[in-house]
Amino acid sequence: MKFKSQKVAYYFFALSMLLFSLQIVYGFIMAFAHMGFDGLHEWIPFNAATATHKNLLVVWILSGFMGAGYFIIPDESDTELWSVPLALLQFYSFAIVGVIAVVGFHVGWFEGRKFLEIPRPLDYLVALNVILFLVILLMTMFKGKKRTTTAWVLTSGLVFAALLYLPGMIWFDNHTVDSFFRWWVVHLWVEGVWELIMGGILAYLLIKLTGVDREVIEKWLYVIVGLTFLSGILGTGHHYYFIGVPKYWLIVGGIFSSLEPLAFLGMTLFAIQMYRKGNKKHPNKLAIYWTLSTAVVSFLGAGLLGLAHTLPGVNLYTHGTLVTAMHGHLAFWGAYASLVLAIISYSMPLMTGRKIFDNTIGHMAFWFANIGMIGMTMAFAAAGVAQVYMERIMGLEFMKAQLEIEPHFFVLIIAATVFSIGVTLFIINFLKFGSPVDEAIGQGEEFSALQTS
Amino acid sequence: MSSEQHVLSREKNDILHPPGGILIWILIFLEVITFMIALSVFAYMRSRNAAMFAESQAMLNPLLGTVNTIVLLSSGYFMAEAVRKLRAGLLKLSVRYTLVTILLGLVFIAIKSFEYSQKIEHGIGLEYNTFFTFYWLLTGFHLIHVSVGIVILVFIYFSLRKGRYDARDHEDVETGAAFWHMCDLIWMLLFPMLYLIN
Amino acid sequence: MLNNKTGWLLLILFTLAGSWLSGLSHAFLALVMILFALKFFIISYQYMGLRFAHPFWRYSINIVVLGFVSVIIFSSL
Repeated sequence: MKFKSQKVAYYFFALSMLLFSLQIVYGFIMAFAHMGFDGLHEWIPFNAATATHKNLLVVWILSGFMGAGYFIIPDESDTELWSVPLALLQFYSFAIVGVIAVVGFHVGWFEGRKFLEIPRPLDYLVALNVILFLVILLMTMFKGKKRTTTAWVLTSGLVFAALLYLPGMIWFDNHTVDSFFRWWVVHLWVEGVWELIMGGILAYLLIKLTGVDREVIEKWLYVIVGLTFLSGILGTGHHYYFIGVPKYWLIVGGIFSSLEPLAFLGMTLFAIQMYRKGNKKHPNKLAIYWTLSTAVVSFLGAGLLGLAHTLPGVNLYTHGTLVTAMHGHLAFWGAYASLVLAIISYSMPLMTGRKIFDNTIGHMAFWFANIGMIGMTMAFAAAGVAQVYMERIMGLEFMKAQLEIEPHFFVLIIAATVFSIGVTLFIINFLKFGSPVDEAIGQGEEFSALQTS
Repeated sequence: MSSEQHVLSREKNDILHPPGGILIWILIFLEVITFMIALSVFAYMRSRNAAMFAESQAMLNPLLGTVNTIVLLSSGYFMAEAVRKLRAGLLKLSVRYTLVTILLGLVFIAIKSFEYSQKIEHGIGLEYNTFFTFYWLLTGFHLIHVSVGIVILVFIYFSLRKGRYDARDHEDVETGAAFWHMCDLIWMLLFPMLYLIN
Repeated sequence: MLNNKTGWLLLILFTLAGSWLSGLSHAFLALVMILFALKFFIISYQYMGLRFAHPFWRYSINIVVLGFVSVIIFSSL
């Protein structure tokens, strides 16, 4: 850690971990409900559980990104954060809005739009909050002497993400038009501008961890990320297939979304290549594991499993089934969850001065979580294919098909348990770090000699 | 060995340095492949409904298309010449040829706009039928590329005039030229597929 | 020997030939596609300087273009 103010990141990471645990709890509630054990129905009906599960996902990952921003930007710009009190204010308001939203879901205070369930008054608070966050980051950047490409890409990703929140706040009377813009929010995030954030964080981690020249990493990674970004913007057309928009979206969405895996493949090969090219001397093995797994699993989950049902002819059958859940789980885990865990693994030793780089718990957390998630993906795949066959080909009623696929959720729960053990171990490791201290300033500087081979 | 070959031969056999830079070539390949995928889908759709596609194709104006192809190819020629002159150190000629390239690019856009306006007048829009959906999307995306190419060339034109490039240092010009030629390449695929063959 | 000027002449010639042939009969599909593939090669090899590039780039473009043209030609048979 170079600057005192980077410690702010810790709050966001801690909030991330807390919300992540909650998200998993709600996942279990739904998995049991799917199996027929819906004892909590009175208090947490399925629609509230699914809304909470998805919104917590978005919020904990955003919280992780904000932490990453507060950690990376001062380092890259070579200056203290512009204002620590404002950053803390932003943190607390963010947490409070989050809590109100989650509680609201349980008492029926939400909009029924998938991923955008947060009620309108809270939307404005979120927008204000994000503006404050961006102001702090930008002021820090302009205060600093250095403005690196990585810092720019990361910040522009965050700015665009904020801008794309707005289309979800406009009121439309027409359901199709509303759906059209609804996809701009979370899905242009994950397929578009979040790729910029991902590129920025990945580049930062690879520069720090592999020791390969900054110039090489920045030039290449941003080309790849740029391609992902460009294919992703029109690739979002694959959400428009059967929602009532004109037919040409079948062609646009089909072609551009099919290209997305290519860019992901490039990112995977590139990250592995950089690791092999590097000096492999950085002691923080856990951070390297998570960084590389981000590159690999995002290709599998977002790239390949996305490709599996992105073509209109296939999607006609799989639209809105558990096949989507299969893709969604591994994609979010690989691309964004692993990324947040990677930056946490990298930054925590630097903020606290405790060198938890290579311990058994950390490695177990990595393998349990990844294997568990792959198991979950397979369970979802089996359930999804069975559902598609029964519901869309045999013409069984929705609930009858759900009854038939109940056994698959048993497998899902077993895999999810393995996954949760991994995440629990990760959180134990996180707690072992304790809180950040000022004495940790200068921590990690000894590794800077490893950089720029 | 001519001066041009001399300049280029230093890059020979270097996989990481194709003329214009590796990044632009990755982009070119992705663009070309994307358009090829779209055209393959187009060909498949045509095989399923040949009569409708033939009827719709007859509504296009092959003469305008041919003229536009010639305009685009000529602009490509002038761009190639601009780069060649720059390599030979003839900066003034290079600037002039770049300007001609830009003007021809604008002529292409003008003819294309005229063609578009005729289609719109006849009520043939994006959703007229499958053929015209492809027609609008493919030529539209191509037109966007041409417009972006012109913006790039305008930047290059002003930088050339300011004397930022010379016979030795001109990779940006090569990259911009490669982008412009890419528009030709894409059009070489679109034009026969949409206007000519059936 | 091909240079920019002869390249341009060939390009125009092939364009006119392509338009003329396709107007005569749809049986010339293969020929028209081959003419346009040739134009593709003139632009990439002569104008873009691909002939001085590493074989990797030349083979890649050859494979992509010839692959596409043969798919179009054979699927129309």
